[in-house]
Amino acid sequence: MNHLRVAIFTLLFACAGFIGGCGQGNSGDDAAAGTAAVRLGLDRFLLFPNPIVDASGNFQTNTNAFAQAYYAAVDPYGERGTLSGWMSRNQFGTGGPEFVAVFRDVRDLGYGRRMRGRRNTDGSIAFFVENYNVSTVPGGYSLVNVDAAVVRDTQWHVGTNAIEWSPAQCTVADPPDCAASVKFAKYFNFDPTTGQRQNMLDLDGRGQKAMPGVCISCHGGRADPLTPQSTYALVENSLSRKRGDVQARLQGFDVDSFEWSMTPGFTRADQESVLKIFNQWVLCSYPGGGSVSGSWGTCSAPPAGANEWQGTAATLIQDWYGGPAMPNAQFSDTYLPAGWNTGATNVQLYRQVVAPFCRTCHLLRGTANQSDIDFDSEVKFRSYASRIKTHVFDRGNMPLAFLVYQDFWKSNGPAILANYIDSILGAGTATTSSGAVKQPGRPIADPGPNRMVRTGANATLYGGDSLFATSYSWTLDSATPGATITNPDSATATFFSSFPGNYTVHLTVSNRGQSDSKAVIVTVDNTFRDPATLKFAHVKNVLQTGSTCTTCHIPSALPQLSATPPIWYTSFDRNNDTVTDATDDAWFYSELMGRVNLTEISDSSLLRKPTGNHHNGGSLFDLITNAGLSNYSIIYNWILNGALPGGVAANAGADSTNNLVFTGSPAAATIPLDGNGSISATSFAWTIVSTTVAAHPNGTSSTGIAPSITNPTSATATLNVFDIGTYVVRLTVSNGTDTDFDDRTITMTETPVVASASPSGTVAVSFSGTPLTGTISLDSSGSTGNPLTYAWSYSPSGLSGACGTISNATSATATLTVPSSAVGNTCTFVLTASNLTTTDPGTTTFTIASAGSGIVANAGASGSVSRTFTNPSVTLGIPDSTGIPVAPTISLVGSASTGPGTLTYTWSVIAMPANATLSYAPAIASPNSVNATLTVHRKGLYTVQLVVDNGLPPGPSNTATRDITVDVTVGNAFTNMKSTFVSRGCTSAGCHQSGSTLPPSWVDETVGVLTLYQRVTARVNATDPASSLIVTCPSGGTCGMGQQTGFHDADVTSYTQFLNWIIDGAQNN
Amino acid sequence: MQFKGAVPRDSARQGTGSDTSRRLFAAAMAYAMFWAPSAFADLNDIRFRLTSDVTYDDNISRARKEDKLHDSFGALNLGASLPWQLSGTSRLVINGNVGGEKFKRYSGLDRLYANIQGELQYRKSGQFSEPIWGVFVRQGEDWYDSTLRDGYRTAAGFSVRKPVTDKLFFFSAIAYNQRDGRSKVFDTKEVSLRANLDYSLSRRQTLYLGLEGRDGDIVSTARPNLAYFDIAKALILDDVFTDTTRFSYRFKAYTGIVTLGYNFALGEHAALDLAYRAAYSRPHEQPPSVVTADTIDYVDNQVTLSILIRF
Repeated sequence: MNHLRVAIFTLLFACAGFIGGCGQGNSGDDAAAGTAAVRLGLDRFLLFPNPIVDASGNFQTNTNAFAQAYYAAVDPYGERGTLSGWMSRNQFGTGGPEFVAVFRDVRDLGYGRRMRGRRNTDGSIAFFVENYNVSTVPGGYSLVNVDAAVVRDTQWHVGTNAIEWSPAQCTVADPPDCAASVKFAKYFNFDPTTGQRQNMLDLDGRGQKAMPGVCISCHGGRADPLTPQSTYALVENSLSRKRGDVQARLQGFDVDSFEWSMTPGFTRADQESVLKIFNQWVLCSYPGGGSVSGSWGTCSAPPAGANEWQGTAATLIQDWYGGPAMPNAQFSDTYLPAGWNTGATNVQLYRQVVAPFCRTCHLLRGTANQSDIDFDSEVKFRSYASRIKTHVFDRGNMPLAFLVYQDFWKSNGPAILANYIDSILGAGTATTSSGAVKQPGRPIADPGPNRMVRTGANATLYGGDSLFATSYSWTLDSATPGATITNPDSATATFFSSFPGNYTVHLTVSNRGQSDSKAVIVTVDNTFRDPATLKFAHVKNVLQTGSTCTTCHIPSALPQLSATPPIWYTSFDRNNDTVTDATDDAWFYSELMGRVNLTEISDSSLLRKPTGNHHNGGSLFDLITNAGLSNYSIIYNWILNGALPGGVAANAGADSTNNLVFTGSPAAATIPLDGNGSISATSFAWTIVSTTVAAHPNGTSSTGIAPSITNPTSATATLNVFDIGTYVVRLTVSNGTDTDFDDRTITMTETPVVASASPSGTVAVSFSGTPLTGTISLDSSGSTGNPLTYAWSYSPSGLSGACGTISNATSATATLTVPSSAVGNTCTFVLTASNLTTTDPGTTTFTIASAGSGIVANAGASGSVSRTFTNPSVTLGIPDSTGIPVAPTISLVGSASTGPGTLTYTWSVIAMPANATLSYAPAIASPNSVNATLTVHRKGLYTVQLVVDNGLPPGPSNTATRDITVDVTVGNAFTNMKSTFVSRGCTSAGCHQSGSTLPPSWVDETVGVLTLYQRVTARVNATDPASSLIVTCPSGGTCGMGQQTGFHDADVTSYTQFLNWIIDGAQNN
Repeated sequence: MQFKGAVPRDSARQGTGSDTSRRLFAAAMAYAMFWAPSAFADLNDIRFRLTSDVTYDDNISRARKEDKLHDSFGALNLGASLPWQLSGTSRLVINGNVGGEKFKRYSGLDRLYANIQGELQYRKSGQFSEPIWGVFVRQGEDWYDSTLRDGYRTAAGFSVRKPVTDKLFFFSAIAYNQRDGRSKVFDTKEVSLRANLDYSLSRRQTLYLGLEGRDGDIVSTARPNLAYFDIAKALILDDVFTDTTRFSYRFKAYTGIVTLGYNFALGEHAALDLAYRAAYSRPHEQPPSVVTADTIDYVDNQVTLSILIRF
């Protein structure tokens, strides 16, 4: 029995001996709190993801000074220092629309929120919210927060938030164009006990954070660095142009996401109408929201500024109540933007990830110029895929609110999002090899981006942006030897190489048995600046050089024009004190620091935007080019060095290739050197670093003349060169403290000569002189390449000399003297043109033609001549009846003709009266003389032609004509004949007396039926006038009568009278 | 007598001390038992007690009104006691026990436990009415199905036992009790003062009456209620009462316990015991009137039927 007792006793005390063998904490509380399953990332909730670290190592946007500056801007007269003051300023309790709602905002902070809102007659809107948080509740269960809010249990009243959308109060700290009438949202928090305004508050139990960042990080606001002297930053996109207008907005009330008290009066049903009113008021504050009407009245939302957020969330609020008119009393969130309704996968992503975890904050972000970040479409969301992956799965600082972050990681959202990210960025991006979702907390190597450094200068390798790493290892890839890495096991190591080229460096980070590795390519370049010397001046140099950035980022006229960027990169009077000085530079620096992320350098918008990420402008950083990589690296290394202000930056101008024109003797060219683009420089020194003369393409020797610089200590200088080649000039500048230099490589080329000779084809030559000669200009003006020398010659393969002789054969324009005998000849000429370094022969072939004989024939003026015809044939004093009447000759004078050379003349009759034929044909005497005579036998029109010739091909002007109308001299009319009948006694009795029929009576009377005229013309032969009886009978004494006076021998006046009357047509005149 | 069942129901398992002190205490006790000179302790003096009982508890959640939950449970306990005579007027009594409880509905309250206690007793003389004074230290550990409740119990205090007459026996103790649970809600501290009076009706029958007052932490399990949140020193989502969301709240409270029992000896080594216990607890703080006009407190009733065997 004793043994049994001992055994039992031993067993009992053995068991008892174990008591207290183990330690005991409160580990059970962790599980119950529900936090163990959620991995926390960087724990930077409600902080902007790109905070600027101040000199004390604090995020500037999360300091008391930041909040003080904010309230100095939005409440310059301290009227809102307490809750009661704020309420008074916003007219609470003075009548008008004012309502209360109590709920728990599950997606926001989880507080029980007792919200009181009012809208004033001027359209301003104000809400203040008493937040109740039963902080002892573990595991996130806090529906009881609503009950605390309902009864206003002061024990759990953790603070009072307030937002007012009201006009600004502009002060001297604001720019001159500050618009006091523009309403914008302002954010406050008040102590729950004292009512004093608080600069810092702990909204989510993750520590004190500064206003307004803790609010505006999810209200669409910006948190730019303070302007020097602790002035709150000005957001350029704002219409108010008021410091403190951070472009944050009022959030709509996502009623479906709220939790409600069961207390009568505070259920959802009891408060649905109030929350609709609140949502309508929020809509009233959105830019471009249009007209909104409700039981409280009507508002007109303000117009949207050209560059600000365009009220994207308005559609969401309207959709909650059935569309633009908001007809539904009951809130219902079925909103699906068109840009997300693009397939079941995207719809799922929107409904289960974007809407619950991203939309609230992101939909209020973005500007008119760049709205990708509002995630209002799958395309926009996709464009942020890499950043989403980083912030959600790597850094763990998105979602940005702790409660939402926890809810996200407890949901199936991570899996959906991870699969989406994988589909966009590649399998394994957000999931592990086993398909699990990657979670923040694992080590992630970040060696920084590919960058350029200077040959022979230390360069920092910074792995401090790696995540969750406790050990670091930098190694140089064995494939790219030639560099050294100092302190390779530190987060910050030093890279050095004396040899230009690309080097691959690996960073491996580890933590708790996990590791990650990434590579970075370091480009070592001779011309890149020493990274350790880079200061703000160098960044300005990058931003201000050329027009890439400063085409858009320049001060714009106000109100702002479309597509005005939110930061301006030129140097101008930023503080409106009428001078542009160092203060403006400090302001510029501060503004630029708002685009710098010192905790994830490569995420700095200053680096990302010009690389083409969500940028409305062009690309400064084309990283596949050396210049782009250099620009990028200047800014990256500057940030890496701590983004130091000040400095001086030399800007010798961009490297260039200059096609030069060498002139003078010796042949020289000049290149202007301009260092005015240097930043903050007060002294300049230009030097020639190197000269590399290039071989002359035409084989001639280099000139051997050294280049020189004119005005080498001026900002603008001139480089004088005497040959082609590569020249490196260096501009060294100083501001009295810092020095900097910049090399400019100028590749001098000379455009090759291309000889061009003219004329070609057929060249018409004008001849002159005796012997006839002409000239042709051999022209080189079509040549390119700025020839310095010329040589003209006949082509060896052509007819040398056949076209004349060349004079001035070494001039740009030579002369070919052409004899008239060369007309018709074809010749080829060679022009050999040369500049300093190139030579080119050019040929031209042309056929010589005459430009014309140059003769203007002149046959005299056309006109009429009167002539008295006579019978030249007389026999024994008696005109022969067979004689051919002839008129006195008509002179033909060709001496008025003009033309070069020896002229010859040819006269001819080319037209005559129809009856001037045979014996009556006209005749020209001396028809090849300059003067000739024309003999005619009939009256009428004669055309005489004169052809003048000088041996050259005639032209129309070689021929002239003259119309000559030959008339019978006056006095030979029929009336005169009748008088002659009487005076000559023809009518005497026995003769042609009156009444006689045979011989007929020449008395002017009618005998029988015949008149005198009829009786006379019966004796006329119009064809051969000299054979007419009227003249032959009296002259010959035939026809039964004797010879009549005046018709023979010396007196043939009557004969001639009668003959000319016949030649004149025997008219009854 | 012990207040059994769901917390707070085991004053015997309360005490003080850190992890280190607990380990030192347990090791010292074990060392003393096995390596101390046996001249002072005769193993034939070891006494064992085996107890089996069944209990009905009408407020197993220690809550009020609609948050009250009831259950019944069975228990088995094996204890040993070794008196260790130190001198003619003093002795060291080493007690150890192990046991377990099994609940009908709320299995999360099922537990195994082990305790060890050392009590230094002093009696001035052997006269009948001479009281026995004692100072004790006790250490125990619980292994619940509820993760939150696992932990240690430590107690230290003073006791006095005195036969008043040949039929009347008085016992009293004052103790400081501390519990160190997995959850801070079950990290409790209290001071208790108790008294017990046994009256022998006959050689086989005994009536007993116990009174106990406690000032310290209590744990109540109830649905979320702002009134509780207002005054709770700690709370946690409970892992036993999971029919709906219920929190266990720790309050600072005054607690009074009354026990009335009847013991019937079945023979030399066995007895039947029937006991009724009632407890009333009221937190020191009450929520503000804007939260509730009600008083926060609870009442618990237990009836236990036991069989005890000594050997």
